[in-house]
Amino acid sequence: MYLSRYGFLFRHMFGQLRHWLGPVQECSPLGSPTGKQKLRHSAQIKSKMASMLLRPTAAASSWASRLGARPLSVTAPLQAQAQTKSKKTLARPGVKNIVLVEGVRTPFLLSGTTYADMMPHDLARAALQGLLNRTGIPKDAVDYIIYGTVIQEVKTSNVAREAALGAGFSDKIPAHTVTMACISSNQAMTSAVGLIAAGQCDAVVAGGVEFMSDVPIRHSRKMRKTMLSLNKAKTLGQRLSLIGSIRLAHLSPELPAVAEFSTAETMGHSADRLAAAFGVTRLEQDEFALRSHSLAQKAQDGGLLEDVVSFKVPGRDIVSKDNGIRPSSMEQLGKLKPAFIKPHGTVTAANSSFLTDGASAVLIMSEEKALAMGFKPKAYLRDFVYVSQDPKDQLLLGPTYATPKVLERSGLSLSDIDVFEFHEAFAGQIMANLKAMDSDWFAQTYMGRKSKVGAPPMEKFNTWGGSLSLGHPFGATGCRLVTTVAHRLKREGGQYGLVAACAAGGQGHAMVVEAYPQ
Amino acid sequence: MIKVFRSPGRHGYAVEASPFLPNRVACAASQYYGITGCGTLLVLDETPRGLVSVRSWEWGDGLFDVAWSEANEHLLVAGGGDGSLQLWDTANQHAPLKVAKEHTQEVYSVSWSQTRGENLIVSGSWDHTVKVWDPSLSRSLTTLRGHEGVVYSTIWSPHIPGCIASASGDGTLRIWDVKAAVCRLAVPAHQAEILACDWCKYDQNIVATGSVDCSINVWDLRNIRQPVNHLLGHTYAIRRLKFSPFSQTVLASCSYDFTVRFWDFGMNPPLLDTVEHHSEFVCGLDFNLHIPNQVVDCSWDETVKIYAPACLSAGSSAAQGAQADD
Repeated sequence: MYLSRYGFLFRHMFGQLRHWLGPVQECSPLGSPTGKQKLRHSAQIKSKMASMLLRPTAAASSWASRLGARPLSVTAPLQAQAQTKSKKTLARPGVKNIVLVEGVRTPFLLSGTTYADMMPHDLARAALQGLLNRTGIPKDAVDYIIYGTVIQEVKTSNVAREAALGAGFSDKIPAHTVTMACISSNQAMTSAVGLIAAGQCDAVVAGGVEFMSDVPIRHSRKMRKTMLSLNKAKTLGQRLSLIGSIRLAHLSPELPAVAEFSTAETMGHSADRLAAAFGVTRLEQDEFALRSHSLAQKAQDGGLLEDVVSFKVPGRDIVSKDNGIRPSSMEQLGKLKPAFIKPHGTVTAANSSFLTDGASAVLIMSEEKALAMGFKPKAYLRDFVYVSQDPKDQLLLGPTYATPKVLERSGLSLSDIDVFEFHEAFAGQIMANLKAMDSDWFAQTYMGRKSKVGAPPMEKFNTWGGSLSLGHPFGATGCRLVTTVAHRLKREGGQYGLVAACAAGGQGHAMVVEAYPQ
Repeated sequence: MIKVFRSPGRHGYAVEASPFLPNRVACAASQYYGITGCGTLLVLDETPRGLVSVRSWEWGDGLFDVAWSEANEHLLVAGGGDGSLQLWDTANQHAPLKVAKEHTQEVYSVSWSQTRGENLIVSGSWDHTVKVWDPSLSRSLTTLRGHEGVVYSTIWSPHIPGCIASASGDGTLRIWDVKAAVCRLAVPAHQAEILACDWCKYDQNIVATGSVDCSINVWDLRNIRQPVNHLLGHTYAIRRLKFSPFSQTVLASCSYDFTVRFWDFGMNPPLLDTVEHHSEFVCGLDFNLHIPNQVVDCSWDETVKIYAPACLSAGSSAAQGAQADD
């Protein structure tokens, strides 16, 4: 108590303490450099977009009927699709129904902006507090807390535990942290589903957090070795000889890079190669990026992003909106130079997701427990798969491999899915996945399937923006995807949604979400 | 002519001039700068021989604020570091009349309601809450929650019944309605912690806030997008602010830079005078309600001083002449 009084005086005298961070890599601004890309004629652009929309799918007829019958009421499209749906519900006898009760996230901000002085567990705690406020669940009613994160702050390696304690959850609730690159929070959610399905828990909070404004920059290996040996050195002579062995080369730091460990290739480089392999042009990528930003802006302005909770950053303002959404124009996008493979690459800063800070949290319960506690669940979490493939040449093809597997497991076809939310790591990655999903040859050669699964129709695909525009805090994106699917199903009146994501390491994930009957 | 009272070993945190007796002040002081140890509540009378202590009571923890009752000339309430409020009576030498301990952390501010229609006490505490009490301190009537940081200062509005202003470490000034127990207005007044706030005695819409960023913002509650005035001059955090009871635009502020400054924000430049007669943080400040332009302040240098700064007497005649009817 006395230390706190002294601390207050210190704060009064010196304001708040600022962490001395160096500038962190940020998304480069649009405009200025002269690009080699020339503008296409606007008519050609329009025809290209039209051809993208009219891409033939296995369910062209249902797509057309849906477009024609975009009704005012919610029930009509369900009835229109009852004939084409292969299943009314994915519930199985003897298998627990597991529901998503609520999902929230902090605003996703560009790294190095308003969140810059915080720590990852602060963001995670804000998401957890937002979840507690939204649901009103008593703080000891949760059985387990799981968080996913990628770039770990070494002091808080079990960020789930630190965030849970900070948010006021009972300290009797166990918590652990998982990591699986961009699908870390998906892994947190499916671990939660596993605990509930096994009957060991009834209510689990899952979430994800990523904080790129401060990264673990380490001393070089030689320096670390010297420092550790210094710790163990007993005599002055030993210590002096160790200190004498330090050279200038010891002092250069080890910086973390967004690169594959097994191949030493940065992800953007891999994405560019993938885009080239599938013949995705720079124009297609820019168009997709523009689409993502425009839809995100519309969703933000229209109040559709209901999962965002505002939060007061200590020492700064109250943040309520994502700050990375920047719809611009094809000319501006065309001016940028490629970011990863110069000079002839196609992946630029504008058609990649940017470094983001943010956290998300969801409350997952068994259906009986949710109804017993008086909650109205938003969605059922049904089948899910994880897939793994070659990290060198198929790093970002996770959705392509995962989608047919999860559809098969749930017994649905692509046309049964009403809402698609795919993680947009790069526009080139999304376009390459769509082309792969639409290719019989790829399906037969690489996946051993008889025919293609088909590409999702664009009017159902990421219609409220995606990771490109809203931001991609690596560990937190999965919860955002699932919550967005639940909200979109509710608003658009669909029944099934599909979440899919790729991840570093050459892994992928897909999950089928079923709307909860209203 | 400055009258000084020395309280050895006790560092003054707050002073208030009695609303009934023109020569009486109360001072809440703590041992060891308020960090640890006990506290003392002093009642001082100004006599021709100087400042004399007529009552002094000891308390187990530091005392951080004191407020005289507006209904009874003998009663005062003090807030302490153990989270308790005590009701003291100058007729009773030994123990407080009542002790109410509901706050879970230090009580940093107490205030007695100024409007005639009700008789209530408000306390602001480091546990982020503001509590309203009845004058017998039996049980808190309402707890106002909403601040995200410690509450440093809570003041009743002298014009609007049931209206409290509170200043907090989260950088916001909040205006509360006691009857509905809600926060009516949250003004993000400063980017740093706000240690002091006060209402203007002549205009019911004007509130001033003093902050760790060394500035004072004067706000008109009808338009909180920007302050009416931004007073700069102090070099360290501003600990307490008081509006003059005799002039609409005059206020005084005391700060950790060892000075007390007087401002008239109707004039340009607004700084009237800087009084530097303390050798430690100046924490307590009040205007005397009966004697125009007399000011009492207390500081961590173990002194309480009563004086009439020249700038106020000189300015008062001009201010009275220029003052429009209110």
